[in-house]
Formats: sequence, structure tokens, C-alpha cells
Amino acid sequence: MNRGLARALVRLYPRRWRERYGAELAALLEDRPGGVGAVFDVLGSALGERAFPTLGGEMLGGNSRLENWSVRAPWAVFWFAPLLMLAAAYFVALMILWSGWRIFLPGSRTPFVPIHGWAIAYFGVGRVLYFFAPMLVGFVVAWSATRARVRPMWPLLGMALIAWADGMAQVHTRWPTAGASGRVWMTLELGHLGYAPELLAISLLLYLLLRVRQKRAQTA
Amino acid sequence: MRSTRHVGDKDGIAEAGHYSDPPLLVLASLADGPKHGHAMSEDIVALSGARLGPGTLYGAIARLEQQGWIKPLEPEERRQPYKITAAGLRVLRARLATLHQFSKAGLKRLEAL
Repeated sequence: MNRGLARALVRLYPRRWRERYGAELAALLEDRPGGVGAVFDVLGSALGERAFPTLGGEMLGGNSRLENWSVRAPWAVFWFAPLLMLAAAYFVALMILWSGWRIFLPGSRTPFVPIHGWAIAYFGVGRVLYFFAPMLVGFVVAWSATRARVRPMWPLLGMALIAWADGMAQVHTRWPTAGASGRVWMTLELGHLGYAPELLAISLLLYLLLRVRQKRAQTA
Repeated sequence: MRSTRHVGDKDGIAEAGHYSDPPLLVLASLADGPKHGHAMSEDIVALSGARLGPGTLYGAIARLEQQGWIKPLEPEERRQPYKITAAGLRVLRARLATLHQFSKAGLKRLEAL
């Protein structure tokens, strides 16, 4: 394999892994004929290493950027950033709802009516984002907390906040009138729980599974 | 993610029969002496018929080293040879014994057909 490509592939691994095994892997890649299969194998392995890093021995030395931030400002990593991510996802979902209403249902009093053709795909993207973003953000919190090895209090409160925000979020639409255009907006209703308990349970389960996996890897 | 490619498969039966457990293959390859990544890769082809992808091979090497089942020796230029440890040998022996027992029982059932 060409040296430039081998080095570029090795750069996909996390810093700590690269410092330990990067040179050997690059040498192996350069010794072998490069093929699409080898490239995809390294890509998959690098992604796997980023998602589930090798733990134990030398891999425990030194702190990653995530770990540093988790120590300096855990509230920012596990509370503020996830809420910001969720807000961004909701904003995009509402934009899709509003623009879809204008494009596909200009004469309709509400966007919540049976739809056909391309409208299904268009509104579907917003719907998937609206329903699955809280779950995805909860997973990100669980995964980051496991990687950073922080006290469980931070991710647990972060996941509870995400679940609560998801339960409170309510979408409203206003029919366009002669004086004002139609509007789509979101409110947070304090007493409304929605799917918050289910979402919290799923995120907690994932967090527990990741912690168990981490403990096993450390004691193996 | 793991990737193995069977070498020299003609009728599909060989592919169904090839063994692909990267950490075990690496341990088995090191059982007859230290090797670096490239030599391990070639030895695994000879041993099991499966060629481990470079990322898969190094993923297995990294995990085995962090578990203390293999250890690095003095590097030879850019190549890093590895040696199986006493703990690695115990793990290899135990896993091969389980596989042996399993294959014996499975083959016995096939004989009865």
C-alpha cells in the first residue's frame, strides 16, 4: 500500500492507540498490497477503536480531550452540551415541519394531516429527528461518560434532563391568517412527562451495559 | 469490527469451515515463537485459511497486549515482534481444549447420522 494512504489510515485511530501501535500498523500496511478490503478493514477498526477503545495496560495512561473536559467542566459536557444538541435537533425538526407545510400543504390549516408521495419522506426526516434525537443524545451522554470514567451522578442527571426536556416539549402550529403567516413553535410544559420515563430507562440501560463491559475489560 | 478473507476457497465449503476468532488466531500463531504483524498474518493464513485484515489483526494484538496475554519484544526496524506470555498460553490451552471437546462432540453426532 502506498505510504501516504497508510499514514492517512493510521491517523484515523485515537491518539493514544496511534502512539503505541501506529508505526507498526503503518509498516504492515506498506508491506501488504493495498486493496479496498484492507482500507475498509482499517476504517472499521479505527471507528471501533474510537467507539470502544482498548482499555487496560498502557491505554489507561494520559488523558483524552473528552476526559480533560469532563474533569474541568462536567456540567458542560453532560448537561449543557446534550441540551444544546437536543435543542439543535428540535430546531431542525421544526424547520422541516414548517417548510414542509409551506411546500406540500399550502392550503391546509395544519401540517398534521394525511400526506402522500414525497411529503412522506420530507416530513419523515423531521419526525425521525424529533422522536429519535433525545434517544441518540442520551446514548451520546452514556457513551461519553463511560469513556471519560466520570462519577455516575453527572451522566445520570444529564440523561434525566434530556428525558425530562423530551417529555415537556410540545409542538404547536398556527393557521396562517390574512394578518399573520402560519407559525410552528415549541413550548416546554412542566407537568407533561410524555415518553420521558421510557427514554430515561433506555439510556440508563445502555449506560449500565457500557459500564459492565468496561469493568470486564479492565479486570480481564 | 473484524474482517477475515478466506484464501483459496473454491467450492464454498472451505469458507464455511474456516475459523475466524482473531485473538485466538493471534495467540495460536505466537504459540510456536515470536512474530511481527506481517509474519503473524501469513502464519494465520497457513494455520486457518483465513487472512485477517490489517485493522482486525492490530485490533486483536492491541487487546491481547493490554490483557497481558502477549508482550512486545525489541523492535526490528519498523516491525514489532510479539511473544505469547505464560497467561496467554494458559488462555490458549483452555480455549483450544474447549474447542476440541466441542468439535469431538459435534463430529460424534455427525458420525451417528
